[in-house]
Amino acid sequence: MPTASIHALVHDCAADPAAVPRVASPVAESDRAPAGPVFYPAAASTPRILVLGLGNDILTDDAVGLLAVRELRAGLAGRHPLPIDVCETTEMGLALLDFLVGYQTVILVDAIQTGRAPVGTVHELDAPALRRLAGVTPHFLGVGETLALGRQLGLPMPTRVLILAIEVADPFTVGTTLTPPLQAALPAILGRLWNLVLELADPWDSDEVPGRCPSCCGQKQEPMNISRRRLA
Amino acid sequence: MEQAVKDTFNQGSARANAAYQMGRRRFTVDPITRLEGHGKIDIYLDEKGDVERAYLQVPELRGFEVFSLGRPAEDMPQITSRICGVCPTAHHMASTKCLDDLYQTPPTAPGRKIRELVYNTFMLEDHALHVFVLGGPDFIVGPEAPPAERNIVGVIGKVGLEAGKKVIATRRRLRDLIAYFGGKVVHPVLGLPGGVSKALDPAELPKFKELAKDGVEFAEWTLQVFKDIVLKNSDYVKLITSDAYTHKTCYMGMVDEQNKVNFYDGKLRVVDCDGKEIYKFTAQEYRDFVAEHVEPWSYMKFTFLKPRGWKGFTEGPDTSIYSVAPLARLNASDGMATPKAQAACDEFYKTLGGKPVHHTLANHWARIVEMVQAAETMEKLLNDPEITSQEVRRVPTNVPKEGIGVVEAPRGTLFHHYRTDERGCITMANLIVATANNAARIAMSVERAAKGLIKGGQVTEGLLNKVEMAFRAYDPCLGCATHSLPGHLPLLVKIYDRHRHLLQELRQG
Repeated sequence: MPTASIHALVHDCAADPAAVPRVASPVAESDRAPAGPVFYPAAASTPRILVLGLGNDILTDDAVGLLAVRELRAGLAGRHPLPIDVCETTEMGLALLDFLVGYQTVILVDAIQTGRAPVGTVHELDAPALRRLAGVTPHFLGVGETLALGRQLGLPMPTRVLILAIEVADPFTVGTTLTPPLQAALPAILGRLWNLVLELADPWDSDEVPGRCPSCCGQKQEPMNISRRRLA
Repeated sequence: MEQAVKDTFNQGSARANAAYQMGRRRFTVDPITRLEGHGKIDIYLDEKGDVERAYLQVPELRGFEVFSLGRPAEDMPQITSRICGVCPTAHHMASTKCLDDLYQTPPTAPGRKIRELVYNTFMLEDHALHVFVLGGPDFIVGPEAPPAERNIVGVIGKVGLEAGKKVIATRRRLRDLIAYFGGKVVHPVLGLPGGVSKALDPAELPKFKELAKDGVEFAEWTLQVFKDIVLKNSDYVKLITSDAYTHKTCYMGMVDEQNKVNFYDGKLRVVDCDGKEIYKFTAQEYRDFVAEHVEPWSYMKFTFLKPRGWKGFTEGPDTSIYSVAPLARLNASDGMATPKAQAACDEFYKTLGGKPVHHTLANHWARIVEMVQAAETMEKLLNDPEITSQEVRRVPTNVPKEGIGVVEAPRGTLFHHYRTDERGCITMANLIVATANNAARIAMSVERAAKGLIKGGQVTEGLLNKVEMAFRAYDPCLGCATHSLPGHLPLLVKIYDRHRHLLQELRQG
């Protein structure tokens, strides 16, 4: 199965920002992705790193993963090219396979509600939780199974997957604006994401100011100690 | 709806929502999934420690109606398709048909055919996903297999690597067709009142014809896999036909003029538990036949057959509870609309003892019969010369007021109902989703499983799995409210004594 053809499916991708649904206006006139030729990079030029935002853009805080990567993309635009693709999708389960194939490293940005941390907290989820297949109900296909499935089918799957799960307040009400506490936490969340991306995009251009978040506040931020975790 | 009824309903709904919110604070959730409401089952015991009541809760989507108010009706196919990451095409199509009705502008013949082509492609793809990834592992890998093997990886282990690649590749090609017309799979922008936004370029026709041909072959192959693995195993067949998974209710499904199964358009037909037609109505008449019931102990709405009145969670000849989804569609029709599907349908009823079949787990088989019809319908439409016509849209000129649209979503009948002002801006929006239509029967299935497995306060081993199988056969759309961290379904069972004190908590996932 050639990698390029798998990428043909990725219509919500960063390569065409116009194709990305916008939160502010859920029905964008530019919603239709270009049909015909595949605009996604071919296998040979596929960047090593994918930052993938997940969520539902009309379910209040559920959109935070989409918003965060959108800001990241805006921040990366026009800069020295980093080997990074930034995508967003409202899909889940098996559909994620189409996104993950061909990358070495994937950062997933999503909403989470544990009820045990303040809104806006960024949980960095542990790789072993993904690796295990045991005890998982087969109703929805999780990231762990998606990776296992891809590998079993002989597809080039990422060797490292990091999940940034953002604690949210309300992911159940239909709406297009974040709740105030999450909105307030957004700059810090973006700073964290930005740091992580720069850290992973090795080698990054040393002329760039490390830890600076150009997309939201423009403030210099202390680099955060983010551990890298590997998947087997 | 009468104001008094509406008020009572709203009060009950508000109370239930508040109770749910309170309840949410009490339990903790594995941080890998934040779907804490999903698959939440509450079991209440009586003074003897036997099950008094058990039910499944799914988080309710809130604020949809408020969000829709004042928006142009034409936005609704996009907004509603965003509600759910699982069945966007079903919402998109129901909404589009609602707009046809709202503007009194039926689609042109080619426009309708393109809609049907996209819709049948979606049905085939979505059903295949369920068969192989979601529900199928119970049977293909085996109901007694350890949970670690009951997943897609286990399925591939059983059917073989090449077969696994075939499933993934076919699914991808089907999604390509949907994306061709809809721009994207997940948020299609195809449907317009009076037609569709994109015609089929004749140059693309051969590719899609090939896909339809392969689709028929794929569906037949899936049927064969099911027969070889499931039907040849007498234990599986015994499980399917066991009392634990059998309910004698009414069934609802959409049929064409010959009373054959149709996913996209037709009248809704309801049969009783003996398979006799009791009602047949158009989408516009749905309020005369479908009503919603609220129980004080749940925030869920249970639909029932209005002419019969709410009679509780009962089964038998007088029940007002009906079910939707594949098994119900087969039961409510006089057969399938295409020849190969009809043959598969005949075998289905012959094996399971005639019509109607009341075994919930037979939904898995019925789903594959429907895959065959969806694929054959794709082939038929693509061989229709009109499919490449450019006349895909009729521009609406009427003043809008009220519209109702209905389709058969993979998980069952889906109603969209809007009212607008004279400018076409929404003043009322109501959806009845498939899982709501099935809610009462799902509740009965969950309760039956719980009653069989809890006696005198003692919980039998395997409760979680049996309960899960009971509701998974319906393919309930628990994905509506959220995408979440992808994406396990944690099943949380809470058992309460008669004083509503929590006795025990079981979890899976």
